[in-house]
Amino acid sequence: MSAHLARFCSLIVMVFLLALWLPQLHGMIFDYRFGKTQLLYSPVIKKFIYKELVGEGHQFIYRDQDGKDYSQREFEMLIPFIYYKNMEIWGKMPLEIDAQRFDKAAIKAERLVLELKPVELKGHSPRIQLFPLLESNPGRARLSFPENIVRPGKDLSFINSDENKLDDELTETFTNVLTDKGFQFPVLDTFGRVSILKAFDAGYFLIDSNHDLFHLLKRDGQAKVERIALPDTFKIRHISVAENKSRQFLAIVLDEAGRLYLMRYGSYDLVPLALPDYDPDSMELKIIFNPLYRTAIYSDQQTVHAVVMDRDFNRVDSYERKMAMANIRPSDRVWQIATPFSLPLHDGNTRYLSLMPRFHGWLGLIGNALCLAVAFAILKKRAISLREAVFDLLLVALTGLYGLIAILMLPLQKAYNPGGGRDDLAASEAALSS
Amino acid sequence: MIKSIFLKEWLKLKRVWLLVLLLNLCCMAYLLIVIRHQFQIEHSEMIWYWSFELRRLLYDEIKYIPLLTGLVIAIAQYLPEMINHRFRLSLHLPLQAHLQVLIWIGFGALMGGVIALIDMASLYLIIKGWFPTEAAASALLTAAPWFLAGWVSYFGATLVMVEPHVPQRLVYLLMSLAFLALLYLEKGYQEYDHALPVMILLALLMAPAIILPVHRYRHRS
Amino acid sequence: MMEKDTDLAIEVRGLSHHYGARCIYSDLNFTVPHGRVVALLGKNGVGKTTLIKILMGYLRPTGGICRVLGQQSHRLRAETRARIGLLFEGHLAYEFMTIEQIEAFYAPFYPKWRKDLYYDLVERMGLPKNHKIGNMSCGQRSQVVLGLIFAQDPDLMILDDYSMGLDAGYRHLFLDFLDRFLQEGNKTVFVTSHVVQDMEKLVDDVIFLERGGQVLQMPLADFSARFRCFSFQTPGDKAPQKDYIIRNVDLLGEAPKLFSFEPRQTVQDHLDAACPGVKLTQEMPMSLEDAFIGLTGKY
Repeated sequence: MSAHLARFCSLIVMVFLLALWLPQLHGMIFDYRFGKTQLLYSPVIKKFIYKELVGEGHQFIYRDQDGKDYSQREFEMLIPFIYYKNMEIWGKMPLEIDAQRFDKAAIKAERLVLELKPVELKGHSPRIQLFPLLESNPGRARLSFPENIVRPGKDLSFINSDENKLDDELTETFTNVLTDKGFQFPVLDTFGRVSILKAFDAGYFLIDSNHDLFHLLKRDGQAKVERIALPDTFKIRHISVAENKSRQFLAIVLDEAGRLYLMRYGSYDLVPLALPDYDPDSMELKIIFNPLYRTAIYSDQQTVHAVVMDRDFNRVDSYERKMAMANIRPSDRVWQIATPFSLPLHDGNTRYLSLMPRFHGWLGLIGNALCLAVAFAILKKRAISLREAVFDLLLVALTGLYGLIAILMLPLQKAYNPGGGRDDLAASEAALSS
Repeated sequence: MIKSIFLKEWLKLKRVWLLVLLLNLCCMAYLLIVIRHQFQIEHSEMIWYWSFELRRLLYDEIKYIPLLTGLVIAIAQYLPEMINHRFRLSLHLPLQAHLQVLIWIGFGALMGGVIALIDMASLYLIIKGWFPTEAAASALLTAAPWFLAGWVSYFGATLVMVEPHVPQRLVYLLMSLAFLALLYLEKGYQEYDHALPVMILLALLMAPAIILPVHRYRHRS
Repeated sequence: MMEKDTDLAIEVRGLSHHYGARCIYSDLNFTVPHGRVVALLGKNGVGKTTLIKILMGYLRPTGGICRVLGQQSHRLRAETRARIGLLFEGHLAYEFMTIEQIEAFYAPFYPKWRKDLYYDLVERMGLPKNHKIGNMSCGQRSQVVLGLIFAQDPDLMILDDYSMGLDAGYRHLFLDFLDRFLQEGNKTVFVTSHVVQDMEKLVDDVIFLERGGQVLQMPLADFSARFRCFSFQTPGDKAPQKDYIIRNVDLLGEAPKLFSFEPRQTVQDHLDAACPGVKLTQEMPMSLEDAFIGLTGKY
């Protein structure tokens, strides 16, 4: 019996590894560079237009929401704020849209892209909770990292990186300033953008234990703290800080209910964005600014959505489209039938390796049934009774192709039957015995 | 009896174990030198930035050491049993073969575990020497799958060595390699935090799996 | 579990084994009662090694029954294994252990352990206790292995080719100690060896295993007394053939010889009927080895 149990231990490990590696192999063989559909709003024709790869090779289509096709050049001319450099080459500058003229400087001044990806969210990526607090008034062109790092916790500790030791003085100073501003330690969350390659430094947003929001800066070596008033029930889930030259908006704010806001630079006012079907855990979001519109584009692996708003964030139009990359190709269909589930390891929305199974739906049952039939046939050929093989069959019924491969790789040994029957002995046995 | 079995495993293993321990200590010493060197030629705040924000792993020199350690321990323990089919001597002892082999495996895994613990402690202390505690703890979690690979390689090598049939040996080899490949997919720190418990469970399943090859060795069927 | 309370140390009935399509035997039968010293003899390739493997429990037979101390050999209980001493071909031992360590290793497994017997044997070699087995000669190692088997005080000993790698001196030493140990009585020994001559002093019974699983089992004394060799003359090139009376014919030597279990007159009468003109000349003296070859043939 224990040999049977031991075999089952190996079978479980094998099924798991097969469910992990076979889909990877399938992907290696059949993946193609489809990529996500580029969906944009054309301020020229007031329609959504998109660029999509629909077949292998270079089969790009440039199309608007009504199905009208364009050449690449026509397409780019429909979104001149994005391709303003091409417009310049083609002699189309300054632009004239809606009886307004836009020159290069005006376009550049308004251009802004804010992004929020699921992988940034807490719980989607591991993050060591240590943050360098840059001097936001460096008095020179470039920002630089300080020789200390902030540990937001029961106080705001500073650790000197050269000595790898707590800097008690800085810790005390900054902690006191925060406390004086009404900050309740411990720090629940810290949001900021750790980089020196940005237009300016906006420090960090800190959430205190009352879920109140504070903005922390280091200015001329001193702590500068602002308490940001929030509506009573408002709970922040994430703040994606964007330090842009234009200094219009400082951040994208996501609340616990999944609603999005833009935070205005300076006033900290929150501008709500109405984005139907937006799911922060699975969708990448981009907000593209141009002199006329703000377009929010968000997509998971299936559908791309776009909401176009005017300069005051009033909804103008919206559109959604199932992307060509989501179309099920024959190889995917075969795979869905052949196997009941896969362990995808990476889901694209987190940095963590995941072992959550992705089930292939009822089609997978066809594969399971076929594998079960093959398993039956093999057992019958080897004259192994159903009673002996019940666990093998159960494994194949549940895990389909993976289980079948596993039981073929580690075949069941027939029960010993002295005086009758024959054992299958490998040819290597003869060599061992003589 | 149990003491006797431990005695035998220790006799087989002691030299190799001490040698492997020394090798591991040398690797940790090397890591210490590498990290110290980094902090001498680069600014500390930049190294911290690479480590925390860019997720660069400064300690991945030790990545494959546990794997190698597990492999060497398995060879030291099972090669003397397999040469001239000396395993038959053990199988004839008046003690359940399963129990005996599970004790062997337990002993080997434990001795490998002791080295892994020493490595982990060293890794923690080395990282803590130049980084805040958070980074040292993170390094342990990041290196955890590499240390798990030590057990997987040990169990895998045991399965491959004890299994008497060549085709099944290949199956066990493939299985072990597929498992090992799974433990080196990191691109940054702590990416295995969620997957690790399941992977540990699966790795532990490879220990009782040894009973099947032992059974086959005993009965050649 | 098929088990029988029996006064047989070894019971082989209807045993069959094949490797793939190659049949080693299909119906092998013999028994060894308690207290007997039995030698298994047979030429290379008749399946001696397979039989030993089955008896030792390392090979599950394809069919039939092989019981050792009343239990199926491949399912021996731990307590039964404790009553069986095995000597593996090549005097297999843990070479990484020293004289002292190997004794300390085995002792706790066996309730009847007789440390004195082990050291009595091993100390005669004059080696220090921390001498490693891996550094010993084959002869020295055989002493250690034999000492361990004696200390185990088993009821049944299965000794597979004890003579392999031993020079005459160590072979005799081995046999002398074994003989002395057997004098304590009530020990069963099942032994194979390539040195047939040695069996003369040691064994009670012989089992001749022939290709295909034919077995001839008899007390050694009977075999020595009854098996005869006659030289013969034949008028032409016609030679007598093997049959139920004439067990073998050897035309390769100086004079042609034939072998039989029957007395001279019976053989001559048989020849007169079956092969007229062939005359037995004289009965030739035989060593045990000669007799073994006479029975099994040179090829």
